[in-house]
Amino acid sequence: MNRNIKHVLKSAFNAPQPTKKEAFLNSLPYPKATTYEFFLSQLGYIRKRFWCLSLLLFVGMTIFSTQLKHGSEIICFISTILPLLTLLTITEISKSMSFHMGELEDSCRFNLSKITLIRLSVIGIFHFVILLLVLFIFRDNSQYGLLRYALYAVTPFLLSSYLSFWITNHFKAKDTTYICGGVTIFISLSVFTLHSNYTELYNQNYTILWAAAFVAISILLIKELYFLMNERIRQWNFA
Amino acid sequence: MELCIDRISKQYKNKIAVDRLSLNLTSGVYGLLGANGAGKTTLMRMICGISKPTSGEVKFNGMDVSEERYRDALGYLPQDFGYYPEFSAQDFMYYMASLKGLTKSQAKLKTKELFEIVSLTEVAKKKIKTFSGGMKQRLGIAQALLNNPQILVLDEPTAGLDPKERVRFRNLISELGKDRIVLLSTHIVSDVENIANTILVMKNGQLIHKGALEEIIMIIKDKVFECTVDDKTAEHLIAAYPVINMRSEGENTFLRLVSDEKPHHTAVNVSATLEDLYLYYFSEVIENE
Repeated sequence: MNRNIKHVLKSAFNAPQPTKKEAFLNSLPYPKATTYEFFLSQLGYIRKRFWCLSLLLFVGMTIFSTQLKHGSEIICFISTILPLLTLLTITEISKSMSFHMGELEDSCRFNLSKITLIRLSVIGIFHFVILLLVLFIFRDNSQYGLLRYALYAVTPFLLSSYLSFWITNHFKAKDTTYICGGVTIFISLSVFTLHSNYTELYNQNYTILWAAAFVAISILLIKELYFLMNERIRQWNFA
Repeated sequence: MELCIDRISKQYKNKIAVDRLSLNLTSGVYGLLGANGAGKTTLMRMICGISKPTSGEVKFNGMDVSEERYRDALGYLPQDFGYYPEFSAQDFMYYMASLKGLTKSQAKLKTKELFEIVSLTEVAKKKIKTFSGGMKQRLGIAQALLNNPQILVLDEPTAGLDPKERVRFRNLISELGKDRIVLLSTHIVSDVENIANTILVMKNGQLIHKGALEEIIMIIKDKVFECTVDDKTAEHLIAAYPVINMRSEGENTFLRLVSDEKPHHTAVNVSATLEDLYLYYFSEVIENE
């Protein structure tokens, strides 16, 4: 059509008022976030204090350990401190329950199981990196060899994680942090006592026992994490 | 648009909260009435997929309640909801938008639009912990609308709202109910009376009535009476009939009660309201609470 005619028509007639504009707009699909975008968005919702305290624990542990002379002292110190990371994990993972956000979160497209899985993955990866760094930094200071060194450092941490998640799954949300705190400190002190008074437990003869404990606790931990993500986190179902 | 609830039941240990309930909902506003413990919240949780039915199923346009696509079409306001203490109202909306799968730009746009609707623009950056009950409730309503849901489930949405806010909320719900399914539960009978196209009455986990206001009220039509009698007669009538309202008027007592026949020679038959029906059905439960 001739451009001038178009212009004249436009000025001669008023455009009609839109009808059913709202219904039309509602029918248009709005752009949606992908699972990857959702994963990235959730990183920002892990509390700053979790990152700060985890890093503080790692840096403090590393600085203090470098002052120790013997490999056995270093492993004693590291395996005593590492379980404290569990406490930070529990407060972050159970925050939906603690602040009564779970019901609201569970009704969303990315529901509570997905949110918990993402939180667990991010925190798990972060703590795994911390563990690797610790093992890497002190690999030459240990008379035990890397495998035994890793077993001695990680097994108490796993035990503390397993017990903390078991408590989260079986106690009321408001009490869990305190009980987990008590259990974590108990494990830390026990590890310290074992190192000081039962040094034979760290002989090569017992490596198989440590390895068995590592595997058994890992299986139990996975079981508790599965229960947490699929059942326990929906605490309103336990009415 | 059809939400099919097919013979769903929920049992907690030895208590049946919802008992083989079936419903088909199309677009419109549905008001769910029932006393505490009638099973309203459990039913709503099952419709939202956050509580798994012991038996039966819930489907929306063929989608199962457990599917992500179903939750994508859902907006939910629970009876009690919390918030992370560090959140401002805006942070809360952005967080909920991320869980509902909105992009950042969409989240900003929708938050701004919804804050205008629920009058929270001025306090968008304030911490939620400084909010009054009504403001918190309005924030809850706003988050439920973030993803432009086709199914909107609101559990006690008017709790904590002042009369002016309630009127605005009613208008908003009426508007929303034109092209989506809105299911709301409340104890405030007048809210249901004013907004709902269909009223659902629940008792002991079962749906005992379903219909428009006029149909529902028919159940006690010609059964509501008012009379003013002396205290002794009042005592006798209170013991014999479900009393909906009573007040002292000097030496006499005014009574509004439900009866199949004229309870007293001075009693006059009056038109029934939804509140009469509610109190008639749930008087036992209310007395026991």
